[in-house]
Amino acid sequence: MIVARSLLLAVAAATLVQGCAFFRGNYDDDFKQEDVESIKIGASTRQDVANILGAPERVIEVHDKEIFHYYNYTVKSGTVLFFSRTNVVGNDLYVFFSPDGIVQQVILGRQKPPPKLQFWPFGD
Amino acid sequence: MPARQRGLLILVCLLAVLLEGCPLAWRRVTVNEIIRPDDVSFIVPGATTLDDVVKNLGAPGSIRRVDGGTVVRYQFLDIKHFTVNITRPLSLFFPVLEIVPSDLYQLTYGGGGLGTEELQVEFDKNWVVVYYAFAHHQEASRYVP
Repeated sequence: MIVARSLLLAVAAATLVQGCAFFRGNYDDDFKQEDVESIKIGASTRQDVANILGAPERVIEVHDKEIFHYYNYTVKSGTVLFFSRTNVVGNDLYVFFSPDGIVQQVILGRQKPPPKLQFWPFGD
Repeated sequence: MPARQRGLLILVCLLAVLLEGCPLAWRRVTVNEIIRPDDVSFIVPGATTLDDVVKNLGAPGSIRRVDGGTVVRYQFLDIKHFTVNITRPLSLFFPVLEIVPSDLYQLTYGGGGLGTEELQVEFDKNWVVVYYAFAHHQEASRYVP
């Protein structure tokens, strides 16, 4: 009886999980708080920032000032039978420099929560 | 296991087998979460600064220079897509089609929409808010049969 039940459950599990797929991934690493805190406003230079965070994804020029823009993305995706949902969440970090190349401001703000792992494509 | 539960389990498995390779598919991709009007009620043009905005909403998705100021944008994206392969069931009735490459006879019909929701905030040269506004296009995201 126990063998029959186990067999039935195993067959049921194998049947129900076919057509299912789940994955997660990321584009670039999360920002480390200690890296951000090691950037000194009024003292760090562009080279210091590049040494800590690496080359920026983008350099923006606003009112004769440079802004280094860093970003990363996290992806979670689920597929069950014919339903599929992929959620992506991005986080951004900006470092503002004065015209003479010294860090003026670091903008990170609150980090967005990681994306939800879902497969149901309806609703919110 | 009670007979009723066992019957239900078998029924669910049978349904899963029948739906495997089902010609229907609903797919959805979302990027970031919506910022709602209530979330930005703290913004007062002429008084709120970039620091205040970032503390409450996080870092924006983009910063762009405009004449006399800067525009920052927070963006949300929602894509919904539905497809139906109307010829796939043919092989159930005409097994000979199993040996024909499916590309030669399959017809897939699909439709969907991409909706964006965006908050734009413009700052003056002192990084004080000049105006903020939402761009609402989320209704465009829907499954189209």
